[in-house]
Order: sequence, then structure tokens, then C-alpha cells
Amino acid sequence: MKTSDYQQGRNIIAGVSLVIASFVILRTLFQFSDYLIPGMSYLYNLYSGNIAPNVITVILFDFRGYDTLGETFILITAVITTTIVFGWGSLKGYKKKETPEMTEKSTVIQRLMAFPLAIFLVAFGVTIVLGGHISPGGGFPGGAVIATGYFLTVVIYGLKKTPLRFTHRYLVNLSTIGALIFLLTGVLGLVATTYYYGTGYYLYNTGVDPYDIIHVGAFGWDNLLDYPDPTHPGILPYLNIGVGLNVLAGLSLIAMFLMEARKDE
Amino acid sequence: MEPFQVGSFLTAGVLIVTGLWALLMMDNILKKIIGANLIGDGVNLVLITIGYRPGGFIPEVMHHFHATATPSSYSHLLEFGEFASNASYSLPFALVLTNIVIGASTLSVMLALAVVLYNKYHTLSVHKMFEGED
Repeated sequence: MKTSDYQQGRNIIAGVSLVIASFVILRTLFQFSDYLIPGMSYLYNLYSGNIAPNVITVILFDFRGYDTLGETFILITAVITTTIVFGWGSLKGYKKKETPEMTEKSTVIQRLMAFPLAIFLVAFGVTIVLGGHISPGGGFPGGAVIATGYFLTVVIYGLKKTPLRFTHRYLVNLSTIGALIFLLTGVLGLVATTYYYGTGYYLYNTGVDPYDIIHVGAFGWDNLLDYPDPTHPGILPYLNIGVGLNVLAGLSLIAMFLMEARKDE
Repeated sequence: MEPFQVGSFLTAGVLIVTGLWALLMMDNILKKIIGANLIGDGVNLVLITIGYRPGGFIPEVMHHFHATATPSSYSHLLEFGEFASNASYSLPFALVLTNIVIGASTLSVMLALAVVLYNKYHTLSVHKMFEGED
């Protein structure tokens, strides 16, 4: 903290207001005991077992699917904002000058271990994404784990010699495809509920039919989205895959932009 | 047992206050970004602590409960009553799961803006950035 002469009064005022604010925050957090009520969580826990074993995935993609849909678009917005800040020209020009210090800094052990570890991380992330409805995890943590594997190889080997080599356009397309999987799966639910019930429900879980609207399996072809799994999670695995692609591509693209920003200096 | 976790809430409060202090009083812009991230971590900790239930287990239907989910049959719904009254509150975990990715997004935007500021002013100090003005 650096204080010059004419800024001291301002700093004192900021400090006093910070003390008041911290007192208010701590007191508010201490009084949270009055608001600790189960609320909707009991009902969610009670009903979610009928759809998929992982209650959090059911809440995230079934009961509160709109929140997750908006959140995938928040991630895309962040990627677009980062791209705009660094310039759209980095999408087209795509010149890759390798800075020497990026690869010479890494030691032999790092170069030997980074690629197997990255392969392990990618496989582990795919496992988390595909088993998101059964085991703890889902699209968000799995995509973040895969992006971590990619970022590890980028940091160790550099952007040009990395074995997991993606281009900007590929990652942008992957992120958009992930969001489109989410959107179009919701449209399928809208179409099915409109056909059977007269009223369309966007992002309806057509594979499971938890509210007994569309009579799954009446014709044989209408449970097309039923995931071949003994737990019958409906459309949840597809939404997991879409969100996983979105998060993987978005975080990788952000990491790539931040790595490329070093070259400009 | 008292479900209110005093230590965890106070840790979250300390995180939030530390983040506010770094955000207001630090000169380096990277430290300001770290402070903004600390506030988000404190909020996440508050949400996780709200979901805590003493003696509970994770909100996931394990093998000792009836996980045979047959569609459009509600007769076994009562068997999840024991699960629902013992598992921890599951709604805050879903909120935290979304909040983590939003935190990563805002962190990326803040870092990008910091890179642009460094390229323009060739310094990370906020005090030196606005030295020439007024």
C-alpha cells in the first residue's frame, strides 16, 4: 500500500468505512442462524431420487435448468469479451511466434511428466462428465478438469509444441456447439410437451417424464432421449455433455488468450 | 447439535473483509483482482456452510436407498423420505457449482483488462496510472 501526501485523508476515510463495513458483514454472517431453514432442499431431496441418483445434477439441469442455460451463456459472454479485449484479429491472423523462455524454463521432469498427466486429466474429466448423473461431478467440474489438462501442457511445452494443439476457431466452435446442444435439447422437450399436452414446456425432461405428461414409451419412439442407463436420467447426460464441451472450450480459450498476451510485450 | 457453524461463517467473513481491504487499499492491480476473487470465495463458503447438516451425508442416492427410478410410478416416493430427512441441503451446492464458473469468467475478463492496462501504461500500479491526471 502506497500513500502519498494528498491521498492520506482519502485513505483514512476508506479505512474507517472499511471497518464499519466489515463489522456489518461479520454481524450479518453471525446472524445467519435465524435464516437456516431447509426450504426447497427437502422437497428437492425427496423427489430427485426418481429422476437420477445425483441430486445436485437434477437440481442443476432439471428443476433449475434455466439458470444453467443462462450460465452457459455467461461463460460464452466472458469468452467473447476476452476476445474483444485482445482484439478479433487474434482469431484471424493467428501468428504463433514462440517465445524462447516459455519452453526453456521447464525442466526435464516437467517435460517428461506433463503429457501423461494431461492424458490422465483428460480421461478423468471425460469420466466425470459422462458419469455426472450417477457420481459426484458433472459438466462443470469435468470440463474444468479437461481444461486444466490442456492448460498444463500449454504451460510446460509452450503454445506451439503442445501435443494437445487446438486453434482458436476450433475452440470457439466447440464452445458454441456445447451451448447449442443445451438449447436444442430444450427445444425437443418443448415440442414433445406441446404435442402431448397442448402446452409447451421448454427444457422438459422428456426421457424421464417426471410429471406424467407425455406418457413415455406409449408409441415406442417417443422415449428416444431416454439414456441407456439403469437409472433412466432422461436428458440429463446430454445436457452434461453440452455443458462439459462449453466449459472445456471456454476455459481453454481464455487460458490460450492469456498465454498469447505475453508475446506482445 | 447446533447446525449453525460459527467458525465457518466467521472464516467466510474474514475472507470477504480481506477481499474488500485488498480491493480498496491495495495499489497493485493484480492484488485488487485477487481481492475480488477472495470475496467470491467467501460467498461460496457462506453458501456451502448453509447447506451443512450435522450428521448428514452427501445429497446423492446411494445403494442403500431405493434408486430404482421407474418413470411415471410414484408408489416408491416415500422410500426417499429417509434420504431427504438425512441428506444435507442440496440447493446451495448447485448455486456454488454455478458460481464457480461465473467466478472464473469474471476473473478472465478482469485479467484481460489488466493486460490491456499494462500494455497501455507499462505499470501495474493504480497510483502511477492516474498520476498525470488532475
